[in-house]
Amino acid sequence: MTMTYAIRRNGESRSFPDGEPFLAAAAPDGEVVVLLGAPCEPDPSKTAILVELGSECLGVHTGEAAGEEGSNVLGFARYRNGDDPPSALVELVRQPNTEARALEAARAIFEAAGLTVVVSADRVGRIVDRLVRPKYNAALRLLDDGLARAEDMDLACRLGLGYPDGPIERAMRGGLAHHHAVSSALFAASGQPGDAPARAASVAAARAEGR
Amino acid sequence: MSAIRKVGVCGAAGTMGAGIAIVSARAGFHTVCYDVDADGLGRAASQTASFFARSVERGRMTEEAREAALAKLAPVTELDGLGECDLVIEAVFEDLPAKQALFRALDPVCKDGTVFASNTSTLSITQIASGCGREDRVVGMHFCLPAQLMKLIEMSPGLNTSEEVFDAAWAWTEAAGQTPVRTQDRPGFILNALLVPFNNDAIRAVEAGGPPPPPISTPRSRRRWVTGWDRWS
Repeated sequence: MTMTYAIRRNGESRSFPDGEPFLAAAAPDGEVVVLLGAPCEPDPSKTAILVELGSECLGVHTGEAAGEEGSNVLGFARYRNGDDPPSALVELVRQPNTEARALEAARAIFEAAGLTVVVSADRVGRIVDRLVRPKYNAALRLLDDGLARAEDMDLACRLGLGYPDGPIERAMRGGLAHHHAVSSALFAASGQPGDAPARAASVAAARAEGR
Repeated sequence: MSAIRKVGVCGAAGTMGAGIAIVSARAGFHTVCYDVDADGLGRAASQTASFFARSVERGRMTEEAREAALAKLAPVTELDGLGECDLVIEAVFEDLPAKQALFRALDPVCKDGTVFASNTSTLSITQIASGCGREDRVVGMHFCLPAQLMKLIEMSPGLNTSEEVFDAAWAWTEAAGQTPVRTQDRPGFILNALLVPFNNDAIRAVEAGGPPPPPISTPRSRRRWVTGWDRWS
């Protein structure tokens, strides 16, 4: 499926910063509309409307209808660990009654750009953050508890699990304040103890806020 | 430099034990492979020979080194065969009473200076050592599966482990070509403390209607598993 897309932009995009080829390939009258910070307006004439998400749910932009919501509007976010460059992964967010045609169109434009698409239900943290943020919190808590040195925890994960880097160095590189923001959103939605920001993240966030 | 010259492996008919024995013999240590299952020891010896043969075929080992490593391996089915070992590593069932009973049985058999190491991944080293008669000479030495391919060893002292013993065991892991990291004696040490909850969360996410397993976790090879947080985050 070949699809054209238009971009409506308002400010910086975490998924597609300036210079991304995806931006240059847009067409003003595309069949799909990609909203990068621009407000979401219903437009049934379009095949799909894609809303770039932060930590929030798509329902914040579309409204919800007791689990029956869904239209041609989808959410998306390209995964980024803090200020690391965006990864090749696009998390596409659908609602229970999202139109199949819209979903396939969204998948098509991102895959045509060389990105890898996974589809998630409309939940805070989607897939990756929902899985990794509790692990970063756990690793930071284990570090506080004196289980091992940060270097050894990271080395253990690299050698023992085949990871390119460990949880502590990854959380640090992405920024503990950023980790705090995402974890806080997860915790507010889930109430799960593992989602609660670890102490070190709370300290970093407080410093970032000048407290 | 390791003062350890002769190593015993308990549970050597099992996957972990056989792998640990390969690590030891490949590094030039006389290695006594103990198991009560004589047939199992025979099967493990055959698999070890195949592993070394493939290592030669792939250029990872010379023919001379293969022969030397095989010559370092000695299977035994009686504990007495471990008496002269400087280090005995247990890789028996992940069962506290079984490990405690083994170390209690080894104490009168082994020489006074022998270090006992446990390959446990979840049990307390302090508890495993309790009652064995040489609580100060027991360390945690958790190899990763498959031991003959994975470099990491999680090393943990129990509450009563002497620093001298811990240092000797640590030096042996380095002499065996492994990469040790030090952890506290806590359930799951580093890897399982992080990995097991991660796996549970991933399973729950799928059960809750998330994507099917492939986008979350894809095995890339026998030796390297890269899960979602590393493929993309």
